[in-house]
Amino acid sequence: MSIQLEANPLRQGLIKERAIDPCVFVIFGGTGDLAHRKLLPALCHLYYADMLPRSFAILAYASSSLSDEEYRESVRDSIRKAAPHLPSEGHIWDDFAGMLHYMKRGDEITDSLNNLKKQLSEINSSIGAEGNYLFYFAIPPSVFREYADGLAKVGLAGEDQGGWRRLVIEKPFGTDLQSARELNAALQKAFHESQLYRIDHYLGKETVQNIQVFRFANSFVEPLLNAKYVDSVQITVAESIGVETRGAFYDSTGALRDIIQNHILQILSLICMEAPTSLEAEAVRDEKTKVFRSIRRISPLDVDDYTVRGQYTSGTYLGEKVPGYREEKDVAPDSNTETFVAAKFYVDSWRWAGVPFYVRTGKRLAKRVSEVAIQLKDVPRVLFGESYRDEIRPNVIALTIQPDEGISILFEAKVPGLTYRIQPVRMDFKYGFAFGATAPDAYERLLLDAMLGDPSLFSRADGVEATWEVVEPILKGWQIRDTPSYPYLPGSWGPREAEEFIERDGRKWRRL
Amino acid sequence: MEAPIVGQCDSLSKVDSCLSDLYMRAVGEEAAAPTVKTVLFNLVVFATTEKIADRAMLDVTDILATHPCRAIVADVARSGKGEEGASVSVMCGITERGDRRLCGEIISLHAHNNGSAIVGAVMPLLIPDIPVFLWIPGDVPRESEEFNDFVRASSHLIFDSRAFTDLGQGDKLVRRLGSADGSNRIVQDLAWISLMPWRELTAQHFDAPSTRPYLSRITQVTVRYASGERSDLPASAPLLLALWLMERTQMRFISAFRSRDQGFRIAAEQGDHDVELRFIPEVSGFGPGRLISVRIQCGTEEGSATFTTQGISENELTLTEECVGVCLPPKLLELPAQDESALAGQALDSYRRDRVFEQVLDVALAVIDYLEAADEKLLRLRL
Repeated sequence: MSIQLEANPLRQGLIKERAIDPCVFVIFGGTGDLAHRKLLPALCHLYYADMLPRSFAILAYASSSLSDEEYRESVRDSIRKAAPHLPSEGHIWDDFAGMLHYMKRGDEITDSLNNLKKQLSEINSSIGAEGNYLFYFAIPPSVFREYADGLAKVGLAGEDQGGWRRLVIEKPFGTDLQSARELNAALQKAFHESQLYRIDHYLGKETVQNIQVFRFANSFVEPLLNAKYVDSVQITVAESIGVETRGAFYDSTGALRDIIQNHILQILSLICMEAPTSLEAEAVRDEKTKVFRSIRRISPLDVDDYTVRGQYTSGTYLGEKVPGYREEKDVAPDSNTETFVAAKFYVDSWRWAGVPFYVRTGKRLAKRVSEVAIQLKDVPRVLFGESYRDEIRPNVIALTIQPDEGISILFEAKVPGLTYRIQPVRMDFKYGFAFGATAPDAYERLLLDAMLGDPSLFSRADGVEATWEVVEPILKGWQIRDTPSYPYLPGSWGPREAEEFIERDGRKWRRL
Repeated sequence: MEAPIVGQCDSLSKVDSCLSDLYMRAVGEEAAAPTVKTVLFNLVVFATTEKIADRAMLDVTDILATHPCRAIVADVARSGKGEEGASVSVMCGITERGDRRLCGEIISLHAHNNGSAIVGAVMPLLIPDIPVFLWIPGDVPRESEEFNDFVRASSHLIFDSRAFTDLGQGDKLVRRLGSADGSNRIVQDLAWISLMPWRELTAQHFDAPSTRPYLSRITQVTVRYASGERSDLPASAPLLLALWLMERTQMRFISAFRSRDQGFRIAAEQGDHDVELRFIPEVSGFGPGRLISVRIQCGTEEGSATFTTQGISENELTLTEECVGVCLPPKLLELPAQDESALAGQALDSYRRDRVFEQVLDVALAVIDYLEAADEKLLRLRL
C-alpha cells in the first residue's frame, strides 16, 4: 500500500489547502511601475502571510544597472510607498529581501535570455526550486512576442526538463481582433495554452468572485435570472479620476478597449453564464466563452443606436479645478478618443433573449463605483389601486463591486399606518459588516493562483478573441460614421446623450 | 474596542428593551463613523462555575471586538437569592476600514442555582435564523437536562479538550453530542484549533514534491510536551497532533502501551512497515500539556531524513530538517495569539464541518477504546 502523494495529505483542512511548489518568480520589467506598485507589494504581503513556499526567489529582469542590494533598497522604498502597512525593517523584511535578485537585461535578446537561463539555473540549484519558473511580463505589449519567442528559443518555455513553466501577461491582449489573434498565435507558438495566464485584475476582486457564489450557492437567485423575470441589467464601472499619467496609452486606446472589452464583458459573462459542470478552470471558462459568443454583434452601421461616446471637458471636481481630457499630458489637443462609453448589448441565448444589458464606463465621473444592477420586471397587475401604478417600482438586485462591496435588494414595503402607503426599501448586505477581515488585493489572489497553477480567474485565448469580436464592429462603426465623443463635465454621469440613449428605451440609468 | 455601555435589567422580559436603550445611547454618542447594530450569530456560553462565568465575560468582551454578535453568558452555578436577572451591555468598535462603528451585545444571565430557569431565560433571547454557537469552557456536563436543551438549540458546539478532567470520557461525550438528536452539529475543539500553526508548519516540511515521498516512509514520530498532572493518556494537544499525522498518512492503529519507563506509545503500521509514536512529557517552562516538539523520522531507499517542528518560545515555532538534497534554511513562525478568546474567535469564523478533526477524533476514540479494553482485561486477570 502506498499513499497518494500528488498533493500533500497534511494540507487537508488547513487554511492553505494547497501549497505553491518551490519556484522562481521572474519579473520582466522588474524596475517598472507595475512591478513596484502592484507585483512586489503583493508578493511581499503573500510572504508575510506565509503563503509563499520556503524554496522561493524573485528575479527581476530589466534594463537598469543595479546590484541585488540596490534593487532590494528600491523595492523597500516602493513597499513603503505602495503598502505602508507592511513592515520594511526587521528580520521578516530581511528574509523577504534575501529572496530578491536582480539581473540587467542585455541588448541582444537571445544572448540576454541565455544569461537569464544561467542565472535561473544557479538560483534553482541554491534554493531547490525544482526547475519551476513563472515569467511575468510587466513590459510593453509590443515586445511580448519577442520575449515569449526568446524564452522558447533558449529552452525556458518547455516543461520537458521536469519543472513547470508559466507565463503571465497583462492586458491589453491586442488592440483589435486581428492583433489579438496574432498575439495568441505567437504566444502559443512559444508556450502551450495551459502555460499562459492572461491577467484581468478585475477577476481577482473578491466581489467579482462572489457573483458566482451568489448565483450558484443560493437557490432563490437562479430562478429569477432569465428573460422571464429580468427587465434589464445595468453594469457600471465609473472612475472619478482622469487619465493622469497614462495619456499616451489612453489616447490610442479609449474606454471601449480599456474597460468594456475586458472588465465589463468579463462581469457580464459571470452574470449571464450557465452553471458550469464544476469549478474546474476549463469548465468555467467554457461557459464564459459561450456567453461572449452569444452577445449579439452590433452592425457598424447601427453603432449610434447602441452606443454613446463621451469625453470629459475641463471643470471642477469636489471644488478642485481639473483639466479637460484634451489638456491632459500626452493627449492630442484635437483627440476624439472616448473617455466615456455607454452601450447596449443583447445576449442571444435562450435564458437572456430580449433582455438589454446597459453598460457604462468613464473617467472623471461623479464617483468611483462599480456595480451590477439587475432590474426585475414590474408586477403583472397593481392590486393597490391605479394611483400606485407609477409608484410601485421594480425590484432591483444590486451587486456592488467597489468601493462599498456588497449586495442590496430593493423591494416595496407598506409604510406603517392605517392606509396603504407603499414605499421602496433597501435590504443591504455589506462585506465590511459581515466579515471582519479585509479582502485581499486582487493581485495577491491572482499571483497566488498563477503560482498554484489555477487558471480559473485568467482569460483564455478563445475568450479574448470572442470579446474582440464583440467590440470590433463598434470600433469600425465609430470610424465609418465618424461618431463624435460628446463632451461632459467632470463630476457628472457622462454626456446628456447617454441619458437620452437609455431614455429612448423607457429606462433610466441608476443614480449611484 | 470602546468601553462597553452597560445596563442592568431587573426583569428578563425586559432584556430586549434594555438593549434598545443601550443602542440608543450608543447611537447618540459622538463617534468617528456611523453606528450600526450587527449580529452575525448567537453565542451562548454555558458556564458551570462562577469562576468560568467570570472568565467567560472577559473572553466574550474580547471576541466582540472582532465578531459582532449576541453573546449570552449563562451562569448556571452562581449562588444567590431572588429572581433571575440580567446585566446587559453593548460593545462598539470601528471597523478595520474605519467607515462604520459596529455594535454587538452581551447578556449575562444568572440562574441562582436554578438550572431549569436558565433554559427558559436563554431560549427566548436567541435570535432566529442565524447560527447558535454553544461554548462549553470546562468539562462537558454529563447528566444535565438543561445542558441537553442547550445542545438541541445549537448548530455549533465549541469545547476545549485541554480542560477535560477525563480526556477519554470527554471526547466520547463530545462525539455523541455532535450527532445527538440526529443533527449534524458542527463540533470544534479549542485544543485542535490551537494546533493549527503546528499542523501548518509540519505540513510545510512536505510541500516540496521532493520531500513528499517521505510521508509514506515514516518510521517514528516523537512528540514532546510539557508535563503536568499524571494521567494515563498524554495531554490532549500532543495526542491530537500525533493522531492527525497517523490519520493523514494512512497509518493503521495496532496497539497502545503505557509504561512507567517509556511513557505512552502507539504502535501503528504504514503500508508494509511498522511505525512507533512516542509521547514524552518533559519538565519545561511551558504550561502543562503544551506541545514542545514533533519529530518525524523517515527512511527511504535514498536515505533517512528527520523533520522537526519545535516550539522555541511561548510564541515562536521553528522548522528544521536533517538535510536530504538541497538544504532549506530553518524557518521561524510567530504563533498567533493562543488565549481562549483568540481560539474561540477562530472557531466562530468556521461554518464548515471539520472533517479532518472528526476523523482524528474517531482515531482517538479507537485508541481510548483499546486502552479501556486492555484495562478491563487486566482487571479480570487480577480478579
